[in-house]
Amino acid sequence: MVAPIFFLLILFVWYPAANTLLTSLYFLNFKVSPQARFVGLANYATILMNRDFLAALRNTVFFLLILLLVSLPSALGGSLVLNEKFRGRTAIRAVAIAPWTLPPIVAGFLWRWILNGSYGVLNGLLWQLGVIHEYQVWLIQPVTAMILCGIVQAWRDIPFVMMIFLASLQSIPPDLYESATVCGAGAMQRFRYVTLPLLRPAIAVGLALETIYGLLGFDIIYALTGFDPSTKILNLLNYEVAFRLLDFGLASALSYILLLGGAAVGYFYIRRIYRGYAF
Amino acid sequence: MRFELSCERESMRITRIFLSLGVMLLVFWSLAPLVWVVISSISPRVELYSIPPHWIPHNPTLANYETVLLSGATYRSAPVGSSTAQFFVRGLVNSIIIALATTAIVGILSTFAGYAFARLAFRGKGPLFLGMLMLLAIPLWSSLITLYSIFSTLGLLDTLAGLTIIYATYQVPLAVWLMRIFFERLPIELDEAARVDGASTLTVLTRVLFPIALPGLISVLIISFLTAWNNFLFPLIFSFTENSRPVTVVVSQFFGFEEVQFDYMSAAAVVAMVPPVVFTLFFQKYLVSGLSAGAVKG
Repeated sequence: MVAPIFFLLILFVWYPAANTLLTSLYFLNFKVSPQARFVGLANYATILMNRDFLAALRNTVFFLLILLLVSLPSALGGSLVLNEKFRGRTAIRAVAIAPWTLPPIVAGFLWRWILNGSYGVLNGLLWQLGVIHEYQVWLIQPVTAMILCGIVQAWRDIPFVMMIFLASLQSIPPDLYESATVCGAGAMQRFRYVTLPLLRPAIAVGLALETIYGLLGFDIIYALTGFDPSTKILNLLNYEVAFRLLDFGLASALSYILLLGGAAVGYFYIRRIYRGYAF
Repeated sequence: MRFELSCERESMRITRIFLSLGVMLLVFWSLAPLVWVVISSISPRVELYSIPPHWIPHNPTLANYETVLLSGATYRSAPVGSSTAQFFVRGLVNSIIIALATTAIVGILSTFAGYAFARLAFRGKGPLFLGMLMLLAIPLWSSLITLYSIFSTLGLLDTLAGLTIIYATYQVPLAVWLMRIFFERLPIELDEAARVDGASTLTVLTRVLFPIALPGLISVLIISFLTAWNNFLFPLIFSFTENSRPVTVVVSQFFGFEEVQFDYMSAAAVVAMVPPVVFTLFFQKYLVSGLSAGAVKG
């Protein structure tokens, strides 16, 4: 019953992954020649000393930071709102999930249009409100562009994290709140001493998943700024090296460096899932 | 006693105010960008490029939809004589075929494998499950680079079948894990009772458990469909022509990086958003249970 999926996984995931590891030890650039030449760890050395790599690494860390700082608190806030009982809650929940269901590339274009420097609606809104006196080209300034990429990625991811938090909130027994209230705890104290501790596992999962999402982020940054060096994170660099520069050797080495980063975050998350099962 | 009551009422009122603010913020944040793209899609180009923006178009029009779906202006990378609409509609059809095929394959594979992981004992179960789960967390480049060569050898580049295979393969780990969770929620007594009556493993799965696990499967199917529909990176690598290019890639091509046709882009974006939005509206319950199942279990 499990044979078909492992046939697929071996043929299209594990075998290619092993072969890529091998390729990372070769010089293989299709722009130069289709012939591979063994070079040992030279590709790794080239990458680790490369200025583009270091810039992309810095961008990735900055991007993750913005993403986590925006998405986790917002998702927590949103889940607290949706956990209350009010009329139309189901409809509001559907609205809140919507950003997550869109194709990320479309979400990215949507925001690129909103942030447009000449006719963008954000400019229009801020101008009409008197916040700015002339239209701004938001995506041209490197730091602002990276921050905006993080915010737009957060816009898409928040619903997912929010649903994780909401599920966890709904599993908290109401008696706990009642006892806390009887003992004289106010709303803030109930949040601090009842909600937050019980939400901790969900927050850990949200943190891990969001970090993984950030590392794998591609579509939204591609839509907003393309391959602009100021927002190019490692995931985009890897695409560029492999499929634009056609340097498969270098790209393979880069993919394993990226994999190491992903595995470090993923380890915690996967171990958590795996532990829940007895084999 | 009376004082305490009024205190309680006061705090209730503050909670209400915060709640209303929160709801408004949540709705505005989630919905405003979507509303704006819908407005843009029905604005004539002159109004779209006006300063300050026309919040509500004075002369709303469906011309952009007409261009994108029926007649079509010249398409950026199109051969002479072909239109935007041809490419866009072809992209839609490709997306529908790929997404449905992926969903069907993932649904069948994950039902069997999920059941096997939930109920059966077999050799190497632990390591296999771990090897599968790892795919949830690692970047895919390490597989994709060689996969490109494999696909080139197998003649699967730029084909609908090729994309379907990749989508299904990369969707399987999450789907199997979710199906395992859904099967494990069912009481084992159901299996035992059926076995006592002489049912085989297959009968237990298809006749007894499957009907009860159906809501779970629906969640998995919806998530698979959406993931396939929304994917952009795989076709960006593995598709070169309209033979396999899905709607996400076609939409991205309305975006020349020099000249952008925001009016057509908006209409195209709205059309590409239809399936996700419909799913959210009608199958919200399943979507939510699918999204949160993994997190609660983990």
